[in-house]
Amino acid sequence: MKRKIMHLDMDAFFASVEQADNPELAGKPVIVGGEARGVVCAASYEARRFGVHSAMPVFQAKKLCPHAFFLPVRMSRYKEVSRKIMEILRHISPLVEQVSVDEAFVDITGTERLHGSVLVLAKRIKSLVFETASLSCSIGIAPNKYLAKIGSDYHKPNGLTIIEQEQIEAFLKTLPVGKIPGVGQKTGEQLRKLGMVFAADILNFPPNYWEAKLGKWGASLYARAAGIDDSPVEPYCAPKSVSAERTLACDTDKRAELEKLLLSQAEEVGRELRKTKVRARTVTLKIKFSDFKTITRSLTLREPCDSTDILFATAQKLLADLGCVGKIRLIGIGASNFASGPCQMHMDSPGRDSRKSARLDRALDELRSRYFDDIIVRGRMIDTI
Amino acid sequence: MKFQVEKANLVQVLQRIQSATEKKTTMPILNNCLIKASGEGLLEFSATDLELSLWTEMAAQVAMEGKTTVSARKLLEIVREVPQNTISFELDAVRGRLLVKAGRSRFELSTIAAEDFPNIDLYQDLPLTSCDAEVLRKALQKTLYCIPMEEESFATPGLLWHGTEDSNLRFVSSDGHRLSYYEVPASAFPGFQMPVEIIVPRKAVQEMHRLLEKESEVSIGMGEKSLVLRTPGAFLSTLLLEAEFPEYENIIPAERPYAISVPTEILFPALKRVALVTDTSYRYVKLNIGKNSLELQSGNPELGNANEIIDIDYDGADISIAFNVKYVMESISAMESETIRFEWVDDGHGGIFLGPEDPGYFSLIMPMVV
Repeated sequence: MKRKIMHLDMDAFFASVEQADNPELAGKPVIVGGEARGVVCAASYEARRFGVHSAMPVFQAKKLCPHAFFLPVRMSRYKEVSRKIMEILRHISPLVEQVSVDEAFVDITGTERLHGSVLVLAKRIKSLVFETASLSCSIGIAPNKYLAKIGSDYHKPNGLTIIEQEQIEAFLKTLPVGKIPGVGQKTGEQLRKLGMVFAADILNFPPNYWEAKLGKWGASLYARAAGIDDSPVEPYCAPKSVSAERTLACDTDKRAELEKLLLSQAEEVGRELRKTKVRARTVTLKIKFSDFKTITRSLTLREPCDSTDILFATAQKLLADLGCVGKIRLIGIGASNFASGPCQMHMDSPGRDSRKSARLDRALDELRSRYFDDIIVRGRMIDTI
Repeated sequence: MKFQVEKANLVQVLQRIQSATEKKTTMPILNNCLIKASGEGLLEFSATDLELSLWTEMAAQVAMEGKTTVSARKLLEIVREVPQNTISFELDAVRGRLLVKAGRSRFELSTIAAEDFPNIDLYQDLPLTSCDAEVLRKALQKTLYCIPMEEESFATPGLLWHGTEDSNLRFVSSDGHRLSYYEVPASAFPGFQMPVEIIVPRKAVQEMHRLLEKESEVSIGMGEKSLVLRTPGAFLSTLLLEAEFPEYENIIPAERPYAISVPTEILFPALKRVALVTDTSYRYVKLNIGKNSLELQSGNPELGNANEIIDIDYDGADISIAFNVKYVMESISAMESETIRFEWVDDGHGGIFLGPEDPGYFSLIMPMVV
């Protein structure tokens, strides 16, 4: 059966929410992104005109667009808006796959009799989103997820692109290789050097040529260039990892300071694990040094855990095992390799006396969700004079 | 070599011998057993995996002396399937074949020369002392199920024999999740000399237990790095495991403030019932203990759940503690007692299961977090 997949992508989501919440910012360059040394999380289209884009270090954005409004990330507010938008989509079809806070796939196959043509439906969604949140979005509709995603990006912002089955071939003939999802700067350059300008050019060579050239991903690149993608819209996909990381206000090699950050990140990650009722087997420490070199170190525990104490102790050990390694710019903890359900305690488990710490975790979670995050902090977190 | 034997006796002997051979090996000779027929109407069988060696003998009508080696497993399979009561064997030394004949069936098995069989040290000169076979059998039976296959932290693939200061001999095994512990007076092993601690490998414990199931007379002895055991018809020697046994005493809570007792004939069938709705990923039974009541609760999101209430005599603090139901059942099965006593500290320490009428034994099981 011919599928019809819609991809909805909010335009400059974080920045647009800020503009919607504060009308004074409307039409002005707005940059959302942590502290002075963090990276840009979102830039309004007014700021993008100056060359600012997301993932760019904030200091660089400041140079390019000094008069922009630099705002901190208000994730809980964005999530709130996101929920309302996803709710609209769930009224269209039960098959909604939320990819991130500001983007989702919807399988709208066979909804014409209910919702009218795809064009009518797309326009209605756009106006519903605008009525609900005063935000604009871009929509792509195509026979599969991958083309739908390309479609939503095609006429951003406030775009609408519909690709019918019979248009695919022509569409790929004019689609620059850099627009294929998964082709970043490096692969893009590599492809252009080989003379590949448009997606269809890739089809001039057989899949095994690309596999030899680019490895496993070469084969899927070929499929993409041919416009093939059978992946279904999966309404719910349990997260595979939870992490927290932070760029420091200034680079440091002070163990005490780094450990304090790790502890607060362990709290954050642990709380998320406990909330979603999963335990993680693997703990990962991520470190970016002053020279931007990034490393990760992981440890797999015998027993999966969701305890702040164990997450912290493990990350602390990973940090100690690195030895003296120079100034650090960013530090973070990740937890992955999840297990759920009952879990056998081991005689050797660090948590043999873990029941107390589990009760403490639960009590802290409870307090924080009832009041606010800083209602209570661990003694370690307080600077001693 | 040429002899005739009774099928029933041979099957028994080969079952023992076969389990001592090494199954996963690149040395085919270790799959084989050594067969030796001597003039006095005796047939000897030996097998080894280079750590564990087993020798056993049986009566046979020997027409011609000789020796050879042949696959122990194949021989057992053949002998088992043969309907006749008498089986005759003949070695064709020239072709290197062992002919097995029973009624109108005839097998020719390939052999490896007896000279290639590893030299088994059966420690014939070692002084042996006779010991209480029943005590030893019990000790092995009560601890065997906790011995893990592989070494890990708090899990040693062997059974610890620990001679205590107060002249007891303690047998301890642990797989990291549970531990079994049996202490008997050393007087059950009069004259047996051993270092404070030895660890007997898992396979040896298994084979010794198998031998003792049918024997009432047994003597044991210690070599420098080995343990030997002799019964009237068999001789077993094993190298000891050179490993550090975990400091198990720290794991056992000395003070267990709470306890309940339940008749075994009530508890065990109830566990068996609630275990019906458990599976490999949801293997727990939760013991919800309150005033005069023990509730067993189990469940699994796919199958459903179960609970059962048992009246008990209890007036302490309420507790809810979960264990792997298989572990609890195995530990109860290892006890010979009409009541089962469960003692605990809290849900973060191992729970202790013991049988008051089966003194010296208890098992510790680590809880599950549900």
